[in-house]
Amino acid sequence: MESLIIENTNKTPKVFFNALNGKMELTGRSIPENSFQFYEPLLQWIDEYSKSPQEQTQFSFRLDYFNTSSSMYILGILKKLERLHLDGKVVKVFWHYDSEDEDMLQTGEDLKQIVKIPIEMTESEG
Amino acid sequence: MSAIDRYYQLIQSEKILLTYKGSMDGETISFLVKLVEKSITEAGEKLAIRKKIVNILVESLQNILNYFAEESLDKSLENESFVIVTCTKQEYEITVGNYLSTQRMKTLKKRIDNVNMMSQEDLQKVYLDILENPKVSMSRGAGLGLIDMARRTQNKINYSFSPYDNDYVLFMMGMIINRVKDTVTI
Repeated sequence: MESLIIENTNKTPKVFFNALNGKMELTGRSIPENSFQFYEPLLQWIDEYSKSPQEQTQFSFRLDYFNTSSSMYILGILKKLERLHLDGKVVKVFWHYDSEDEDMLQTGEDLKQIVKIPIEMTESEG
Repeated sequence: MSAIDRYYQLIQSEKILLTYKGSMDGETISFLVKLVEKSITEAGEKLAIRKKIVNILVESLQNILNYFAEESLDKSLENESFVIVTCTKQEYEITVGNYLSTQRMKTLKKRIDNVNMMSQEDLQKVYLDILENPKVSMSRGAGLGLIDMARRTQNKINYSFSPYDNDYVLFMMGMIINRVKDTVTI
């Protein structure tokens, strides 16, 4: 299976989904008008990956901003990872937030309440 | 007084960071957000506040865009959409406006009133409910966008509807972002 790499734009984050080592990353801002168009291929890729995943899957969210329509799809990604986790695979999720950005921390905490999967809050210095 | 003098007086007294009136497409929104981001960054505004402003600006302008995608109005009315961002020592205010159908006004008014009645705890609970079951959104009478804005600002959403004709009204919505956190008094 091929890795999925998409460069960031001023509205969409950089996508780095490595099929070979099971490490995935979303970095930047996610404020597209059409979140479906951007996220649907990502969700499909994760479905495909989940058919024969690596021993360990690691997902890092490093987002600066996202709009509410993106938040639905971010939850969608977490739901797919949750399924993988419930199937007995090792899944690690890191939610990066800037130390000054309490809203981003709050969103991470919110998502943590919805999905049954360990999410590690990782603070970084602004 | 010349137009320049009047304008200068206005931007000095009100500290206007941005005013725009015209059509709202994706590119325009990106550009407007970039302008605001630039001026608040250069002014040395705190990161947490900057992020709140950008989030609310994006959300409220995309609301306009999404509305016209669902229900298209006469172009001349669509092009009357506007945004104003002002700043004082205590707060930022983001005001957006656009025309909408009288029909839409009724549902929107209900939604905003609903959000404004909720405490922060209620908002948090409903936000999680909707995020988990997006279909709940309609039945709960509030969209995720409005709830998210109210959570972030921790202020009520100001709004008004001015009649235009039998079919349309001018909708204005204002959100205040405090620069100084309320200190807890014991």
